[in-house]
Amino acid sequence: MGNVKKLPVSYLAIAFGLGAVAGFIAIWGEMGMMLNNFGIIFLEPTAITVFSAVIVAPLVEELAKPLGIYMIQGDEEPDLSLQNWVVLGAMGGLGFAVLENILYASNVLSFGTDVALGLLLLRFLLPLHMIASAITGLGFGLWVKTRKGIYFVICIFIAMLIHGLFNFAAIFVG
Amino acid sequence: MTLPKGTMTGSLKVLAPLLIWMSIGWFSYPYLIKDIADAAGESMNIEEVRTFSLIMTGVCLSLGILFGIMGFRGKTVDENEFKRMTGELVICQHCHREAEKKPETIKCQHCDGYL
Repeated sequence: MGNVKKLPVSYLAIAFGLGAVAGFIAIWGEMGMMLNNFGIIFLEPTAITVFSAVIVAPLVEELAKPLGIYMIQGDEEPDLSLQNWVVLGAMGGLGFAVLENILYASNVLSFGTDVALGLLLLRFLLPLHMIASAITGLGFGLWVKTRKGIYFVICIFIAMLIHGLFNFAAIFVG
Repeated sequence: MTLPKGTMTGSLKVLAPLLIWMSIGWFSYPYLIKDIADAAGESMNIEEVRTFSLIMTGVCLSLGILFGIMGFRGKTVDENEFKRMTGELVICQHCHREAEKKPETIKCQHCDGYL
């Protein structure tokens, strides 16, 4: 692994924990954005679903998931390798996914435990949040290393784009 | 600013297993979603889902293997390269603002005074 420094477990825990907390923040943020753009539902009946899943969710969630890495950098300014920032980003995404998957599964419990467990398994097999947040982590790491914020902007845009396309496919394909 | 060679290598090592994990998810997607839809009493075009899942399995698996080869066989960037690129952050004695000090730029970017 060459010059990759060992990541403290506390950083992994912070990234994971705050990634999960970000889930709650994202829900509130998405609700706020939806209320501001409420008029869109009068244009097209399915527009609200598409707008929420393809535009609002990626925008809010990708900004909220790396909450842990923002705080680690803000508080401690650690000298981490680029790969470490990517791992921390992925951990934030994992924390977020754990919370979101449990929420989704609990929502379908009325259909039976097997449906809820099946949905939980299905969602854990698609680590979209980890991939998207790892890309954001890469952008954040490049920002810290080069002091050029444009890398973070590019990477978070790519993460939002992947997330949006994934949600678009989920709506229109099934 | 051009990034040093091998900047992405470490990141690809993390992304490769995630993409292979994702490809397993896409492969199993039609089977799992069909069971869920049946149990919930929902109807769906399973052929369309199966076709899309196969395409996504192929895309994710190919990218995962490609990233794995590039990540594990490529040269990883020396982290000191970034320090050499950006220089050291120092407080200017003249204007008391934070300035980048590099071997080729020893003047403050804000007041043009010597650092």
